[in-house]
Amino acid sequence: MSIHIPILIIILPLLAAFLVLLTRKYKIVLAAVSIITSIVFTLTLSSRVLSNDKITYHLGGWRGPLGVSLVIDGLGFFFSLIALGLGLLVIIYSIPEKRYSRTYYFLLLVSLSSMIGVIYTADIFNMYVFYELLSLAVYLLIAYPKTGVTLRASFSYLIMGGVGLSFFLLGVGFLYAMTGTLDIFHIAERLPAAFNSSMQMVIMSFVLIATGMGIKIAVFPLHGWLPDAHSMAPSPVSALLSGVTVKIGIYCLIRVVYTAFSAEMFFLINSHNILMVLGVVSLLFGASMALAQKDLKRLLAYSTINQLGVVLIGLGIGTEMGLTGALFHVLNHAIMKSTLFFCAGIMITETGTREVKGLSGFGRQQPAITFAFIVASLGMIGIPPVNGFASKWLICLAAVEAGYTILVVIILVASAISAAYYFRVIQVLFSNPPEQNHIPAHEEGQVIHKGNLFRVLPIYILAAGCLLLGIVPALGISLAKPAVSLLLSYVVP
Amino acid sequence: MGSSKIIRTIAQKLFPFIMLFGFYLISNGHLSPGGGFQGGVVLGTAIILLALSHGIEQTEKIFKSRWLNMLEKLGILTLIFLGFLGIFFGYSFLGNFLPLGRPGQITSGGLMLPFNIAIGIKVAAGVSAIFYALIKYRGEI
Repeated sequence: MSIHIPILIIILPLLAAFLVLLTRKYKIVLAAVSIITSIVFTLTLSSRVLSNDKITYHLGGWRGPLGVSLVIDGLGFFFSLIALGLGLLVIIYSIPEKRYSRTYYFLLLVSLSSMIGVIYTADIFNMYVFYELLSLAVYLLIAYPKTGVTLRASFSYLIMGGVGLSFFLLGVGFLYAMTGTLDIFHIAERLPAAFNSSMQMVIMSFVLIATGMGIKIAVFPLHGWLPDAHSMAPSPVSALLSGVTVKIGIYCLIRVVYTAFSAEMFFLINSHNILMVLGVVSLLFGASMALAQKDLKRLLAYSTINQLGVVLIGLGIGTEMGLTGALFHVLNHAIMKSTLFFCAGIMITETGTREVKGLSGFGRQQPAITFAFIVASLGMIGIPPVNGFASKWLICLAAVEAGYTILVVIILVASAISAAYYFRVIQVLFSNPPEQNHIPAHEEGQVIHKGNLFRVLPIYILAAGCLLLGIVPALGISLAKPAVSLLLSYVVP
Repeated sequence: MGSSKIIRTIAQKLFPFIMLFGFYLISNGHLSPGGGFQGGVVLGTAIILLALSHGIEQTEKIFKSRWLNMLEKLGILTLIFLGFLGIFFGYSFLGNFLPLGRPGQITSGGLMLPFNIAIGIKVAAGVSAIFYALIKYRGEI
């Protein structure tokens, strides 16, 4: 049974998703149990993966390059743990909301299982199929409240995401035309020969894949869908989108750039410079746009663009420290941003407004939630005792070592800007409320009791995670270590 | 929806043949052009043809949307279950555990025939359920 674990991690949430549609009573139990089982299965692999072992599973017994195989290595393990862990917390956070019917849990489970599919598969076309499945589920989750704004946000994401994935598919087609295989590891073996004969084709496929994933990651000129989609979605979905879904795009980029376009090609076509430039642009753009936002969730959405810029800079530097910093920042950002979105969900529920101005006095009503919010936003800015500092510090160190001192200045400027917008929110939280009795109206039209355990528990867990990873960064770094050594083994053959 | 008597009669007479062709595509999917998805779509269009000619209420009396929704979920669950059977019989997930037979025969595809049938059921039910939804919720939202 133990050799079947990779497929079970993917298929159990998918099976539960369709079983959820058949039951009304046990939908939450079924969803939570399937995700917990998947997490347990993933953890049983941890000892093998963390000792730089690679677990391969051939679907239907067909080996590559013909068949589809699943590969769990350090990189996949790292990302799948983030996805599953946050997915469980999102499900717990959604429990008190009675409006979420079984369709909601169905979509949540399908999106989670296809995320794991994207991460584990070694077949690049299969990656596209799983990504499309993930995107379809996410479009529907954004539009779940069925109001005008959510439908519009979802539709614009649908168009942008469709275009992005078509670019990705076209790039995959070029790779297939050149190498005659879809298995990533076989592509990596055959691509150097193709590069010598037809350089233009290789560059073209890289550009197509990078553009497609750029839309999904929302780097600066391709970010148009993100602020609407991430801010209009229901709060748990926003947390999932900002915390995990964009990270899947980063995973695909890393996987394709480092594994398929291996070693010398990465530096030959200067793709590290491209990543760095895109990172800097979206870093500054996200920070300055967030500064101008009045809507709390929109502010958080622009902050996502800002933080993803930091990750891209770390990836672009490409040294060991830079990659460690980038992957660690992926983990940190997932934890911090979902804390912030969970807190924002409660704030919007309690105060009945999405405006930052309307939050005045919330800090005195609910000090615990506010404390979690402050911890996570300090992490976003990058202030020492919280985890965001550790990863930003690593990326800055790597930039100095690689001779890009200007990047450090840019990251510090962006951090200062993010300090400006987060402190503005924190200041409003503790200011005196204006003397008026506004009726609390939920964003989805329902008030939830403020002491609900299921709402606050994920927030406490995540805030504790922020502090823990900030005080003992070695925990997160040791998790990212196998992934980094794997990536470096591709760069230096 | 009031269609003329000619259209209603022709649709009624065509219906079994379209169904038959759909089943043919599904069951010969592993031997000739066709397969679960294509055959399922043909089955779905047969139901859509009835709905267009006889009106949605008439059609819903025979092909109830509750049953169609149920069949759709059943199709995908069967598919996953067949995949699991591969594990239980000692192969890998989606591994073939059926005898392979002589090439060209209907039983020669191993697991492909049950797969195609499950996919065909799902697609047929899905296509017609989507059509029902489009007709019923027209103009809402």
